[in-house]
Amino acid sequence: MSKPRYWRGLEELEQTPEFIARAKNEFPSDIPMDQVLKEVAEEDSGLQANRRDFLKVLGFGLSAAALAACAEGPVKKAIPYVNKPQDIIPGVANWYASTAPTGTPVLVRTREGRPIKLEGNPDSRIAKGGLSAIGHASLLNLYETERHQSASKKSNPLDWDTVDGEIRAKLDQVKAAGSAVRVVSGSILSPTTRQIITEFLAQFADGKHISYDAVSFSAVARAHEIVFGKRVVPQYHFDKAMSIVSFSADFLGTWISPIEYAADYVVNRDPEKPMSRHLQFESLLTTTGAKADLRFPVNPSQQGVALLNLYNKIAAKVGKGAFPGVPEFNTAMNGLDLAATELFEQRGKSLLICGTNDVAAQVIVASINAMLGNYGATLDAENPSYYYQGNDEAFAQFADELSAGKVGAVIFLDANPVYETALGEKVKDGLTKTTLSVSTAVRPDETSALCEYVCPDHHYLESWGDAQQTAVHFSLIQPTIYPLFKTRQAQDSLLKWSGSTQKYYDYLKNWWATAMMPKQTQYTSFQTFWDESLRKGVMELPYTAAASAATIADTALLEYADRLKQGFAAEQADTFDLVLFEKVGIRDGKFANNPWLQELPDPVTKVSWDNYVTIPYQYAAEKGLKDGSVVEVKAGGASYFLPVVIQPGQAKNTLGIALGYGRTAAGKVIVRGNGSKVNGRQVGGGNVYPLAVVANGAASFTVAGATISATGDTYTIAQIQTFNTLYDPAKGVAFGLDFDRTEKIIEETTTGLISSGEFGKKVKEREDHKKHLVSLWDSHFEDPETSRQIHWKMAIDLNKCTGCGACVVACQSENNIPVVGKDEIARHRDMYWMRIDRYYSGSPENPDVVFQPMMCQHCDNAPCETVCPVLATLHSNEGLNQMVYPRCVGTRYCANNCPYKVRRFNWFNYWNDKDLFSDFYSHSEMGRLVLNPDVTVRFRGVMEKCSFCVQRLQEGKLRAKVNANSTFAKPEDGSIKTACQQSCPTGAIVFGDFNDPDSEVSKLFRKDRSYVVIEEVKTLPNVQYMTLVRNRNAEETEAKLEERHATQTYSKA
Amino acid sequence: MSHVVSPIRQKWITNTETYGQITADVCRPIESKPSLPWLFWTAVSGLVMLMGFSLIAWTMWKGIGVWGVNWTVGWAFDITNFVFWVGIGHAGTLISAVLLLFRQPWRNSINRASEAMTIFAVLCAALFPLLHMGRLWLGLWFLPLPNTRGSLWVNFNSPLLWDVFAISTYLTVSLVFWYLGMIPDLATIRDRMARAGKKISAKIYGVLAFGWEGSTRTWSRFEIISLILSGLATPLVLSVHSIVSMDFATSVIPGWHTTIFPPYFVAGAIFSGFGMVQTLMIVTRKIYKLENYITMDHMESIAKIVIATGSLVGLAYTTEFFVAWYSGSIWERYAFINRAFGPYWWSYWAMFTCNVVTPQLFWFRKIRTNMVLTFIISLFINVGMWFERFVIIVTSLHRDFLPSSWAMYTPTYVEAGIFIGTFGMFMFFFFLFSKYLPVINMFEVKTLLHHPKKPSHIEEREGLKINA
Repeated sequence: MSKPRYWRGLEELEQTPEFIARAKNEFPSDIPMDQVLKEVAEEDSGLQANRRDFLKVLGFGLSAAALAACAEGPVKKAIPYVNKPQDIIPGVANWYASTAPTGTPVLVRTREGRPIKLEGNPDSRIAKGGLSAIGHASLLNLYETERHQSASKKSNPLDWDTVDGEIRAKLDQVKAAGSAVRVVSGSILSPTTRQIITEFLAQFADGKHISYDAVSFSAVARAHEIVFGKRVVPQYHFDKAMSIVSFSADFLGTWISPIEYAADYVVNRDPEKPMSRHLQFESLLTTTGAKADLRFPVNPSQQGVALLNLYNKIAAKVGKGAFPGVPEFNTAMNGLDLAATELFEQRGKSLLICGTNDVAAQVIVASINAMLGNYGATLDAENPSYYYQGNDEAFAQFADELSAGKVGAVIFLDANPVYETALGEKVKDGLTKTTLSVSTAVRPDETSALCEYVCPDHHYLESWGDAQQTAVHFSLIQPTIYPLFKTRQAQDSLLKWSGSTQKYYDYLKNWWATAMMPKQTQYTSFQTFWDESLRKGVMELPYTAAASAATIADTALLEYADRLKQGFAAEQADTFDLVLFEKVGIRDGKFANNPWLQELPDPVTKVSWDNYVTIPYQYAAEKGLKDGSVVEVKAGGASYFLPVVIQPGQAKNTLGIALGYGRTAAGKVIVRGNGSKVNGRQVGGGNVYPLAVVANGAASFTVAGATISATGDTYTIAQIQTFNTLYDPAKGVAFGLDFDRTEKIIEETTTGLISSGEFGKKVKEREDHKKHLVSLWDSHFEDPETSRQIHWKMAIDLNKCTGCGACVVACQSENNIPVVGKDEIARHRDMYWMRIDRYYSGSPENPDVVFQPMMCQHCDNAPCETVCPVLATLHSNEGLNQMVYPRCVGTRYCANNCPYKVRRFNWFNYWNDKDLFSDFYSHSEMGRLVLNPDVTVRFRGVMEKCSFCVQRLQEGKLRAKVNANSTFAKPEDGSIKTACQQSCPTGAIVFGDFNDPDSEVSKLFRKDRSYVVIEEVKTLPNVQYMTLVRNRNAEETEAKLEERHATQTYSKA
Repeated sequence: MSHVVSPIRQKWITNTETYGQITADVCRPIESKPSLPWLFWTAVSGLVMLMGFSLIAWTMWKGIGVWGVNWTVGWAFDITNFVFWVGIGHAGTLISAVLLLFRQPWRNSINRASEAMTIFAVLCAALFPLLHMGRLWLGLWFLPLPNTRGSLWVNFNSPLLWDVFAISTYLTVSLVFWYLGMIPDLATIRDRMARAGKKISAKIYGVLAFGWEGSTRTWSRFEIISLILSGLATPLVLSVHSIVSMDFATSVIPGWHTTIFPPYFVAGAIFSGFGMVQTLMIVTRKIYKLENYITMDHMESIAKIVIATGSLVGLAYTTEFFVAWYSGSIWERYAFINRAFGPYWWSYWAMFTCNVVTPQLFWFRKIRTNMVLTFIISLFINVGMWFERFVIIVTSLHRDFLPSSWAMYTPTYVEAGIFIGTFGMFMFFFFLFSKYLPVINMFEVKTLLHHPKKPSHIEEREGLKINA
């Protein structure tokens, strides 16, 4: 090395050997670490530390700690898209068509490969974009950690090959022995699955597919077999019916296909067009009864005779012979005469339905409809509905066989008869006598717990499949996520056990190629047809000619009439008819482990999390029972301790208990819905399926001869709304003051009042009154600058709202609203951004009911905005009342000052507090995959509320700008839907830009029916409601008003 | 300080002749060893305070959910206690500032203690607006501090922000006024300590006394600053509680949304404050044997103020009812009917009885001079005034506009415990104060000794005899 021209030090200049050696060594080793450490060690003993050493050690310690901290971090599970998947743009949702287990065609919104939201498929005539609460909540089950995660034998996980081998061997054994093989399932909508089952069973000498429904409509099918010779459940077309008479059929809430019916029903409920007329005869108060124009409480045991009376009255008009010897029966206001007249006058456009699963009653109903010529118009038995294919008798036979030990192999296709049938004990007993018992349950249930093998099916969002809702409606199911666990599709299992090597996906495609492809003419290539069908998700065929002719002989009819007369009792004294009903959220209990559904309050009672017995108002008044009083209900040899919920409008001597509770092997969440101990006694929960015994060919969901006795205990019911009536007569009358606030919150009128001009007068008064509502301040929105922008507003039609709660769950799903559990609900701390207020008016014996969806009203003069000290809630120039979570310090002043009480506070850390809420999905990594990444999860101490789905607005506005390639483009009217609006099957919620005079919402706002809740507070809400109109003529209106006044006088006395 | 005292007035201090005696009397508790009862009660109140703080810690750890509040009744014990404690503070300021301006010499014996009461009460009160926040750790955002978050600022429209200013101003002014007023007395103690050879104590009190030397010039400045501060503090008596009342008055909730609130709240605050002064003074004069300084006349004067303010409060209650009816608004009417006859009727009648009925007993001289009865009545007033705030807050919120959101509120042990804990804190501070600081304003009381002798003919007529 030569001498450098520029040198840094003498060593370098001189090029000493030490320097050269050192320069070659990149990491000089002469930092005296050993010495330092030695010195430290010596100092430890000798206490000779000096400042330098201290600093040395400190420095070493710091850097060591820093290095140690760098060394090993937790393994991150997120994988960045280094190579972007072809169809996924991070942050942009993908949509896939599928079909929910309720049969409703849905669109699945996925983000970064995980499904996060379901919406009804707008292309489907059945869904029309609507989806029920259960449909929404079925998403949550995908991410459930309690699901069966692999195949297992007696709860020991096994790999699929072993399981298949063992099952195949046992099947061969059964085949050799020639004993019976049964596949037990609920109603299977999928035609391919039905075919696979048939093919599977064909291998065996005695193979049968048993189909049953937990909540059965088999009487409807049986009645059509008797009357028309076809075992079908017809399709009902409520959109074609101008007169609807329903006997206990909750067709807007739980009956057969409620989403479809609700959408059809509202078609003729627009007061600007001729309105249909809806009479409801029922024992419990259902959402359907709440929507009826006139509702007549009828005890279940009187219903048969009521139907016969109706038959006779109509027969007289049609000119047919009446049933002899029918006891005279009528309701208040001669309801049966009204029904007969209206059904007859609108014959061919009328519809009589009955919710009782009783063959005789259904035969009479079918005959009346046939007599009125409704078949082919409002009912269609030629293009039947496939929702309920169960056969109660066949199932009862199976249970007998099973318990007699005659069944060699039984496969439960996601069916749970041990819990959800009256013959559960028998099935339980018989299962021990089989050679092979298999369940394909997705998640643990009472039956799979007893089966030898559990071969778990995929969740439907991981599956392929198809569905046929009716003779003409088809839809597809496609996977939207790779299977989360080691599960296998049940169809694949069956194919495997049939000895087939075909995958179900190929089978499905083949079937569609051979069976469906020829039914259309649009596409010539199968691939295009398949791709398009998958994209659309639904396929609809034209209806075939529809009129059916009754083939029943009059003598046969008489027999059923006689049967109906038997149960009749004019008045019972101490015994009750117990009605087993379905709650809108829990339904048959299949999804009872779903916290969204458990927490969803019942539309009518507003109770969440609990089972209870509903009792008539009069009985409660007589016996001094209060909401929450614990009673013992004895019926059908069983006894239940349940809290009482007083139900105005419930028929005398009637009790109601919901199905779907009391599940024992279904998970952690349901345990919270099964009540708790009061004075050492288990109260709440209770499985009432054992009471639904098969009688006269169908499972009966009413039990006569029930008794009820008070225990003196009290139980806390978690009720979202505790104060029921708008009018508080006791208080009002006592002080001679009128506190009737009805008209400031709910506007209600009748067609009678509209035609007499009363309603017009009232609207004018309201408009005149508005002139007196002066303000000192200018409106923010009269500024021409803002009027060029969007002004979001929402109109909610009370006439269309059925209170079903689908929007509530949709909102919960869209906006990451936590589940808070029963205790919190009981403390009045639910987190719902939107709730459905339910008000009674009129006499408690038979009140009118109003449902009012209530969410943030986005007031332009928002009381919440002025009081927030830190400006965490502000108004956007588009009229939104915005909540800035990161800024919120949680004073709760905004909530106090909200006249609508729609703000919700995070009292606890609902997402992370393991002590309190660990049973919910919010506390598992898997469960949290359901969260919508567009919406912040709120921390404790923060206020939250409806945002008008601002994430959707933002997305829609951006989309409009991108599509139009202009920053000034506004989204088209109707292109943006809030989650609640989207989910509403009846289209009760309309949302849009008010500054656009042609938008749907501005048109609605201009109507007479449009009003503001508590207008005089002058909050200028951006949500307006549309007056509820009942189709009542002037006399009926008067009569109902009188009933109401009578109640007030009654209360005075 | 020379001022004219009418000869027919009774003396404000009795059985005391010399300045030295006053000093000795007031300094006795400071100079003597802590008594057993003092130790015991200080320990008890300290423990209660700790209990309160542990429940506060629990609240902070878990969330406000451990209280009984819900989405209909968003404020309950928290703000009730806040208003209650702020109200109590008011008497102190009234006594020290307003009565000084009005030259009411009788205040001299009680102003120190009642100012201390003000400060401790405001400290207790200040806890609650902090505690009631969902995210206490962001409390800094209440302050209009320059920040890097763009134009993010506080909301000057919000009464809660006004509260922050009102309370912090109040606490500052009260603290300064109280401390400044104590400086001459602290110097006295310093000198006595030094004389007694207690060097450490002398040093501490010396530091606390800011080197007071008692020169005429110092005194003159002291008097001026006292006047200025009392001038500053006087509007606070009216403003603080007016602003607190606006937390409610500016809202839209029936029962809150009323213009009567500012005067009503101020009257209530003074009322409750004097109730608390009574409670404390009766105990203090008894325990420290200061009956010669806090005389029966003092107690009577306080009782008279209590009658006046109690009646004002009663008038406010009735006015509210009348206006609710007269307004014709069903919301207003219902809110008030619901207060008196709704599910929380008991709290309304507890309030009404304690605040309107009981103080009227003070019309009877026998009752207002009976210290046991006065003590009991003063407790009633304290309870009643707490209920007043509870009634205003909870009964208005629990049933407002839409019946669908009506709900009931039941407190949990946590919020009840925190409330009791603030009593512990209040008493703990008061005990410490009464042991280590001069409870009575020595130099001002001394001015009361210096009044002219009454003419002998009046003494003879009244049969009075000056204690010799």
